[in-house]
Amino acid sequence: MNSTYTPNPSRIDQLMVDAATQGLSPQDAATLRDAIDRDPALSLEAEAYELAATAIELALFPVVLDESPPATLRDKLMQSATQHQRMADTAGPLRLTGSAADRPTKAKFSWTDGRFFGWYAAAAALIALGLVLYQPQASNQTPTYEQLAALPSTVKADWGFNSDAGDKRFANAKGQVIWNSTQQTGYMKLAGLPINDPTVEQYQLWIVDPARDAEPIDGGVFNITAQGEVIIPIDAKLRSDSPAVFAITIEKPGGVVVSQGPLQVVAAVPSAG
Amino acid sequence: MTAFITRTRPLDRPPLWVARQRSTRLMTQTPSINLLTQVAAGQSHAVTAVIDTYGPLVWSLARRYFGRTPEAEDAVQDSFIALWQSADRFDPDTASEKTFVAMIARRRMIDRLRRKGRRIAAQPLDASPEPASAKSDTLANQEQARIVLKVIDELDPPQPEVIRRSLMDGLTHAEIAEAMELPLGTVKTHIRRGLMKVRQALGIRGESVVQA
Repeated sequence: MNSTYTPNPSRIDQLMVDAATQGLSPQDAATLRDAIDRDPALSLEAEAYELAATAIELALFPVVLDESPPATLRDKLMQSATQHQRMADTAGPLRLTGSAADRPTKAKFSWTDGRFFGWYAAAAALIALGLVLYQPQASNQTPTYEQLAALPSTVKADWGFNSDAGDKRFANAKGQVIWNSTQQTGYMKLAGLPINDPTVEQYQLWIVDPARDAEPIDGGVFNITAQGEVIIPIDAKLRSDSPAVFAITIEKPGGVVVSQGPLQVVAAVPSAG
Repeated sequence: MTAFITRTRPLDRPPLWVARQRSTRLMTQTPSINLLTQVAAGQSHAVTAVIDTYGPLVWSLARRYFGRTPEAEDAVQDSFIALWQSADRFDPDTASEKTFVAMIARRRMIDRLRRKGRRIAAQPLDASPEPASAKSDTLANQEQARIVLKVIDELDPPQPEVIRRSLMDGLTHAEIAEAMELPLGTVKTHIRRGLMKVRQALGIRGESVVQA
């Protein structure tokens, strides 16, 4: 996306207007995103157009505010919000450890570039402390996804696209991640991730377990080889008893020790109780 | 509800700091809690309050774009996830909370429609649209709607019609050009000018990349 081509200001301005009123094609969206990457202040201008368009739409076509979302939907919203809150709660104390500077093998992440906000920023802060690979663990217990999911002690979290920091290619990502701390086994059920060329890049899973350490655990690299839903076993490189957040990045083949991010897809484990 | 209403600021007098002073006065007239700021600060109780306060708004927008379908529910969930991510970007001096929430939701819904290759045609709700002065809306939001409608009404023809066809009927710029037998560039210019007028009237400041 980072070409040397710079569209003229009028073109960018028109793309902002288009985005606010009729949406953009993927190509135009990429052009606008690239321009904003170059000059983040442009996001204010784009948002100003969007706010104006929204105000017009609300005025011309008033919304009906007397119907609340269905109860089941509200429950889902609350559950989702709780997951995000969990990320914030998890990130809070870790920010205070300041341990990154004490660890010579750690490196800062570059994805704290101002485009992470709110609770996702909190999640990013966890990983910004750096990553270390550990000795692979051996485990012969390989229950199926269904068997593991049926266990009461298995934690589950829904995948979601990180729209602020992620690449739009992953916008349709969805599914669930499950993890059983007793068996130290888990699976990712994923759909909507683009097929990757493993000679060029691979997906890499990270497990944030603040009860263990500030540094996320390498959850292994994996490939998406087919459209539709896939189930992938988690290859955690060390023990995790209290995973709080799972995150997926795109890395060079074989994965990395220190990720430059960004987090493309994330799943926050709902807090117990 | 916080607000940024400029009330009677003439369009030909643009000093934005004046509008911001006025908005402060209006905010004191309609005291309210800034929920999104609390959400951004990680106050969990505000999350519930946001869902309860703006759930009906986002749900209404979703039904407008997707009808009463499962996809509408997915769109609402998408919207709130985006809202949690964006809460700390909310600036009460720039927009009302309602407009900000609606903007985030609308953005996600338009993206969702574009991804599926579908047109962005707002649909009439299954209940009769209420006037902007619906009882559940705040005075500030009613005032904002009044200002916006006044701005649009005062635009030179055919700008009001172009704006309505774009943002009310959901037509693309090309469709508007064809329907109104106008050059595409003219349609785009009308829409941009309309948006700029509304921005000026509401004191929505950006970082302009071109000369007006």
